[in-house]
Amino acid sequence: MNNSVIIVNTIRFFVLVIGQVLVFKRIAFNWGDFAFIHFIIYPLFIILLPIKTPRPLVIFFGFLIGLCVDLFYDSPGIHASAGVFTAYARGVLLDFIEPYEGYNTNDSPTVETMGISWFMTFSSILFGLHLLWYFSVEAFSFVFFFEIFLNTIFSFIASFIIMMLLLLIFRPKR
Amino acid sequence: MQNILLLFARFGTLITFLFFTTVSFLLIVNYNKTQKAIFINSSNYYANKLDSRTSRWQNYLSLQEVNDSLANHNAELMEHFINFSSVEGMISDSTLQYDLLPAKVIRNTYNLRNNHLTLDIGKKQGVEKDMGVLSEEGILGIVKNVSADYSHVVSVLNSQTRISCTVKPYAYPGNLIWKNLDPKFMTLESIPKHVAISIGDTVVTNGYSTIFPANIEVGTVAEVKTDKGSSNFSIKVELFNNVPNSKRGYVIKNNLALQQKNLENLGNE
Repeated sequence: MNNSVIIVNTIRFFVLVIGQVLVFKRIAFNWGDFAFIHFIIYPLFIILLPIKTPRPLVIFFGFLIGLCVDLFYDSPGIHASAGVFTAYARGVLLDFIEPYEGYNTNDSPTVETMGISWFMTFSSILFGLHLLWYFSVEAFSFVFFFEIFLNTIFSFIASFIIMMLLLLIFRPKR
Repeated sequence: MQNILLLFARFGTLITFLFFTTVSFLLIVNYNKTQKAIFINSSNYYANKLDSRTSRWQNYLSLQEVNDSLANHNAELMEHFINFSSVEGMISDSTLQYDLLPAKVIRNTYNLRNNHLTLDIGKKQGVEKDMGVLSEEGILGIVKNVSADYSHVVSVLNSQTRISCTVKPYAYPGNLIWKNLDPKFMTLESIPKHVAISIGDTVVTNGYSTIFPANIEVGTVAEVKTDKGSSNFSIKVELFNNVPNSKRGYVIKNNLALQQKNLENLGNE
């Protein structure tokens, strides 16, 4: 792992946190009672960490970015726990959908390195898990099952489109 | 040391995950109002559930004992009934002042400085704040908080307990308090020194408050002391009932309590 990877990921970390808390936090779609769309894009950082990053380190980064977002959302621990969970799930998922010939890259999992179908599977499962965990912890009780479900579905669709647009515009190489 | 490193190499990811999850949940529960409230509520709910479950088992195991004491108690009540019904028209016309609501004790502490009980009846069964609780042989405590299905009772074994009592056959009001961390003994204070009290006399409630009716037997005088510079006795009372071993309680519902309180408040104004 060389220096440029670290620099790129550090910049991505700050850009995503700032974008999340200054831009996407403020976008709200409310049509009457329908308030289920939230834009959450910072998990992109966890998704795009280099594949061979040590996994405990990934979990630490997940905690860190979640905590940074929490500072601005006034919800200490909620995003952090979602980040930790996503980072742990990432390791399990990477083992699960490992290609036949293994991972032969030191770079981030992107469309260019892994192919579009693999990347879509990977990022959508991970991001879906992140949102499910986040909204469950936010409600903190499965009494609100229906709200958790609706929040997850609609936020997933909206945020995933934004995330793909971001990837399309910036085309991260590593 | 090497073993720890090996362990971490094997399960490091899982350990890190569990560690950070714990940290974030601690943050959530401590710094978020909604989640905190839900956490506290549901943990209380499950604690009460667990308590009633375990006490059900305990009750089952001591059924024989309970049966015996119930039979004795029953016999005593029958005696009273027979005695009273011989006096014609005494009870039959007027409404009764006191109702007893039977309850099971599902949580009971006795080794702390301030002890509490939880009963398995609540608002639904008509329990209200500040009602007295009896056991078969003596007094148990006073209801402090009531939820729909449970009530929280300040045990007599509590530093805040003050129960108005007297020594038979006198009417001097004294305060029954709990000082000496021994669940078998309480202390009766502020009975003046000139009263002739001997060991073995019966201590009863005097019914001045709306909480306990008069003439409920609490215990016997075990030791009479005079504090220096005080004009009052400090009387050690041996309780009739064994509070730590109470499995049932009877909440006293005083139907005339409101009337008495209103009248007394009128006098204070």
